[in-house]
Amino acid sequence: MSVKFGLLGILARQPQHGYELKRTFEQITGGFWQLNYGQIYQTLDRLESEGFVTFRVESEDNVPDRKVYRITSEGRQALGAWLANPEPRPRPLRDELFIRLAVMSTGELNAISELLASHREVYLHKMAELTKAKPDSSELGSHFEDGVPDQLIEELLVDAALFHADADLRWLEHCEAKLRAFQRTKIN
Amino acid sequence: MFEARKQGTSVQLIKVEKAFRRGRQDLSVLKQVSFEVASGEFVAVVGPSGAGKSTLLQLIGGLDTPTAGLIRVGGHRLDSLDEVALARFRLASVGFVFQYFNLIPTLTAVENAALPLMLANVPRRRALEASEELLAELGLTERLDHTPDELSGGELQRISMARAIITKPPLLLADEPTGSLDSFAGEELMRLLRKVPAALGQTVILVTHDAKAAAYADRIITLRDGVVRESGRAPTVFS
Repeated sequence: MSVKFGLLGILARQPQHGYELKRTFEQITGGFWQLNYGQIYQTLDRLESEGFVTFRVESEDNVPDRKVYRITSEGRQALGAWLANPEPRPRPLRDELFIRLAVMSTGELNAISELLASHREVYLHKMAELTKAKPDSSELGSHFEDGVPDQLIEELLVDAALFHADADLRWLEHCEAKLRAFQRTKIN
Repeated sequence: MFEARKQGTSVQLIKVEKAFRRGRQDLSVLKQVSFEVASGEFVAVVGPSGAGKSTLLQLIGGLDTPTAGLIRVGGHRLDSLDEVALARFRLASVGFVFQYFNLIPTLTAVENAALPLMLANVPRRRALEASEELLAELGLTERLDHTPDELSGGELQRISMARAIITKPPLLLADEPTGSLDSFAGEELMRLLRKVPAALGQTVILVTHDAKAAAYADRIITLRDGVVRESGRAPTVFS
C-alpha cells in the first residue's frame, strides 16, 4: 500500500521510468527501504490498471526501449486522499524475539535472561551505527526557502529507526526486571 | 576552537570493588570491575538503574574510594593520593557534568561558566573572555547575560558543560547529562559532548541509561549488577 503511494508521490513531482523510480524511492526513504524491480513493475502495472498512471514508450538508439510513467488526474486525487487520511492501524508488532521468548518460556530463567541481554547488545550497537550515520541538519544553512531539505527528512528517518530501537531496548530491560522480580518471589 | 589542543588522559580500573554497609549486611555495588579507557576516547557506561554506574563514576573522579582494587588516571594511582592531593587532582584533572545543573542562580551564564577559572586565580576579565568564547562554541552567544531562571534545560546543561571543560581538564565525567532534558535538547547536548571535548583531546566517560545518548560514544561498556558484561566496539560482539 505505502509503496504504491510512494511511487505515485514521486511521479507527482515529475515523470520517471522504473529504474529512476527505484532510485528516488530509496533515496527519499533514507536508504531504509529497498525495493526490487519486481515490486516496482508489479506496482506500476497495478497503478496503470487503476488508471492512476499512464506511460509512454521512449526509444533511443542502441538502448532498449523504456517506459516513462506519468501520474494522471485520478492518480493525483487518489494520492491526495491517501495523504489526507491517517494510517488506519498501527504497524504490526512482529519480532522473531517474541517467538523465541514464547518457545523458551518453559526453560531456565537464566537462559532467557541471557537471550534478552544479548539482544540488548545488538540494539545498542545498532543505535551506535545509526547515530554515526545520521546526517546533522543543525549545520544546514537557512537558505532553504521552500519545503524541507532532503537531509532533514533523512535525519528524521534515522531518528525514527533510533526511537524504535530505543523502545525495543526499554522493553528488553523491562522484561529482565520483571523476570528478576519473579525469580526473587520464587526464591523467597 | 578557543585554544590550542590539550591532551586527554588514560583511565584504568583493575578489579575495582565497592561495597556499602547496610545494617548488618554488606551491599556489594561493584564486583571486580576492570576496563581501560584510552586517552581521548569517548566511552559510555550503560546499564539499568542500580547497576553501580554512578558509583563507578564517583570512584574514577576521586569523589569516593573503592573497597578494593586499583584505579589509575593518567600517571596517578588514586589510592596513593591523600585528601589534599585528591582535591588537587579533581580540580586540575577532572570536569563533572551531572543530571542537575548545579548552577549559581544569581550569576549570569558567562559568570557561571567562568567560575572555575576565577577560582584558579585567572584575572576576572580574562576568565570572562574565555567563558564567552566557549559559550559561543556551544551555541549560547545570545544567552551570555541571562541568569539560570531565564534559560531552558538544554541551555543550562550546555552552561554546566562549559563550566566543566573551561579549565580544559584531561578527563570529563558526565553522569546522566541528558536525564532531565527532552529528546531534542538531549540530542543537541550529545552532539556537543561528542564534538567539543574531542577537539580538546579530552577523555570522556559518560554514564547513562539513555541508549540514544550512549550511541554517540566510541565504545559502550555495559554494567549489570556491578559486573562489566561486555565492552565492544560497534558490531564486534555480534558478527
